[in-house]
Amino acid sequence: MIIVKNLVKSYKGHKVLDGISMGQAKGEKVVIIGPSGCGKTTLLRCLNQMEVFDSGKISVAGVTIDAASDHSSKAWKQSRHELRMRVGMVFQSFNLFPHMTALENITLAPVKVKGMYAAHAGRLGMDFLEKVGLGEKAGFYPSQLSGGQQQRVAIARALAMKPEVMLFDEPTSALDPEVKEDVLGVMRKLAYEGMTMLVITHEISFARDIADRLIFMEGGKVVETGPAKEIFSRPREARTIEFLSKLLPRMPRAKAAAPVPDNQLSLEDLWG
Amino acid sequence: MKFRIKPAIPPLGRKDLEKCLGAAVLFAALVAALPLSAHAVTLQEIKARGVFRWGADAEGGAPYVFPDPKDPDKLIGFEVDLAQALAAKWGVKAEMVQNNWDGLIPALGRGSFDFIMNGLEITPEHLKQVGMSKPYYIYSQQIVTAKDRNDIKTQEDLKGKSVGVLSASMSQRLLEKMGGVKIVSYAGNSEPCRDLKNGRLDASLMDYPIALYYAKPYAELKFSGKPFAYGYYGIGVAKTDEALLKDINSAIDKLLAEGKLKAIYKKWGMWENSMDARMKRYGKEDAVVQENKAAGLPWGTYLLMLLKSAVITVELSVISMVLAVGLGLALALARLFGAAPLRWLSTAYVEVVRGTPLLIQLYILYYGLPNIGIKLSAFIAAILGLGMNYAAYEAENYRAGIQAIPRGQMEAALSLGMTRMQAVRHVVLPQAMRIVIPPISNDFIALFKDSSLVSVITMVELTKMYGMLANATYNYMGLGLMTAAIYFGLSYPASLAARHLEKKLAYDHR
Repeated sequence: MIIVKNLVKSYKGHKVLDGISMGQAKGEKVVIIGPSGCGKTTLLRCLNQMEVFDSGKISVAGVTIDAASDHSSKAWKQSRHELRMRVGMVFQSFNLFPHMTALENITLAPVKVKGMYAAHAGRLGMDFLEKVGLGEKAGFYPSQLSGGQQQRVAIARALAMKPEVMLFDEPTSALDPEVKEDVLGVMRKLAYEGMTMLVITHEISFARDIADRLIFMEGGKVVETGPAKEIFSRPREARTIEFLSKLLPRMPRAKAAAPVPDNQLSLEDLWG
Repeated sequence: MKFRIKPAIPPLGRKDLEKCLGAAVLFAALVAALPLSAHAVTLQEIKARGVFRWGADAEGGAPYVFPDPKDPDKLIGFEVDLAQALAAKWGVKAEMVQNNWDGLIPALGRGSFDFIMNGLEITPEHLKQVGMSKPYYIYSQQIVTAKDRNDIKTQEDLKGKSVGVLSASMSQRLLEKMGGVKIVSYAGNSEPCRDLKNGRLDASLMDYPIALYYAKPYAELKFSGKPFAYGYYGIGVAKTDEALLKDINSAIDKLLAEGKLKAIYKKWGMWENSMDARMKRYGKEDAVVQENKAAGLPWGTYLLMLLKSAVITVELSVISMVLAVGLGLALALARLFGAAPLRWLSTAYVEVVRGTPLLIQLYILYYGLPNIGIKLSAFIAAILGLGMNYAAYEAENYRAGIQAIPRGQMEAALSLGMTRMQAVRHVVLPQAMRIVIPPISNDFIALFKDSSLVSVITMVELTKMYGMLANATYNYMGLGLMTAAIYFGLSYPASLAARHLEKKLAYDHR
């Protein structure tokens, strides 16, 4: 579903993505973790072409974008459009359209982009609003909704375009702890339904629940990748251990620096 | 038991009210007395001072008082020479005080100078306002047409034609009285000549000395027919300065007898042989003195005339604002989302238009473009001038509004598969609109008032009508308040409507 090959992206000489390669199968849930500035958000933004990358190649849901191709060509613009139609994106700051109701936020793109009839889009929008548990908030404006509700509307908005892949960029970081679970609940449901999901998050327990695979990034590189269970229980790389130890204060710091003998350290134990 | 709370500020008692009333009455009396408050000026006082101050408008132009083309710091003209001759007679110096021609009489009332000497005609309504001396010059009216026109030779021939005149001049009053003429009034003397040359006018009627200086140099124009409608220029003094008036009259008599006046007018090419005899006969023969048509009419008529011109003002403002809002949006979108050359063009447009005065733009559109073969009507030129000028400001309003929308909005729209155009149209602009409505409605009210500037290209709108009526009646206060009330009565509902629209577009329904 997602293939990334040698992705490089620089800002003013600084390599934000330094030769990233990864893959993700259909229906697979992948969680990316890493310290801030490690390039994980940039990677996500490259995957739906919010960012143009310098070199390398991506292929998402059957659409291939090559850095080497001519970016002003019609064909390139067409494939960028195709890509965005097949990829749904959920932002850290929700980015709901404040001048539209919850329902209008959802129906805008199906009507304008897919040419769906307004009535049809309205029914579809209501279905998705109910799916995220906000059926009764259809006529509310974003300013009348809590952060958690806004983010759930944003998820419904992305789903209404029937994407094949959903990208989540720290969807709960801007939320109060008490409403985070509402959003994570919707995402869990989505995961159980078999959606292909690529998620950046700091919610380790959520990651542990849904992730098939974990990617740990740092300095624009993939440091470690593998089945989530394996990395959480027996991280191989020192940097991974150090990062996880900060998220999990009960992990012994002294051990983080030392090489881990025989993968004996189990984080599962530490969580108790 | 009830507590009585003593107010911190005692209420106004009867005594205080009386005091306030007294102050108000005193103030009103002061305002009313203002034109008379200047004390009487005498020749003795002028001689003691060693200088007399005469009021004139150098912008009124040649050959009266105007900047020397060779040395623009120096003023020349036949009235400058006259002032020198008077000064020599009295053994004092002459000092010209610059004042807008329309405002010479009120300024004389305020005591800004000792007397007016600037082509002030001896007319009944001027005589009501000021004391007028014996004439120092006899002027007449001259018809000017294009070289190849032979059908306009007399005053009667002007009927049904469009005729250019200097605003508030004797020529304008003459034609207003005659009726049936399409009068186009100009702020200056060179503009009617240019429009005559451009074919926008059939003829122009001007004071003979003015025609000599402004129309003669045009090879394409000619003096058509003989001068007619003789009238007198006299020196105007405050009504109270009767002694000064006598001294001025005897000075004029002496200058005429000595041949000094003749010498001055010969120097300026303004001498007519009949003038000597006519001047000497002054008072014995009826001069063609034109009473102003507009003076002495009931208030309702003035109000009606003002309201009619207010319709022009509203038309001008609304149409040019529509143009400004549309063109401004196009400019802003080109600058923010266009390709490089479009971006560059839009930026250049905004900077150039904002950086040059609207007045100059109007002059170029109306008087300049005919040089390259584009002749716009005054109305179209006014709309284009105002609209294109305000478009630059609206473009900046839109730009600020669009840039105030967070980037995430555009990204969210793009991530849903919308094109940039769709995102701008459905997501960014509707939000930006709400931000820009207050500044745009502000600009509309500013444009509404700025529309008075188009009077320089012969549009008669509200302010121009006020100027014309006030000039004719000298009722600057009453008509001024009336005009201001009309402006306010139109702009206030506009700002209320803007506020309503702003509320309607609000989406922050907390």
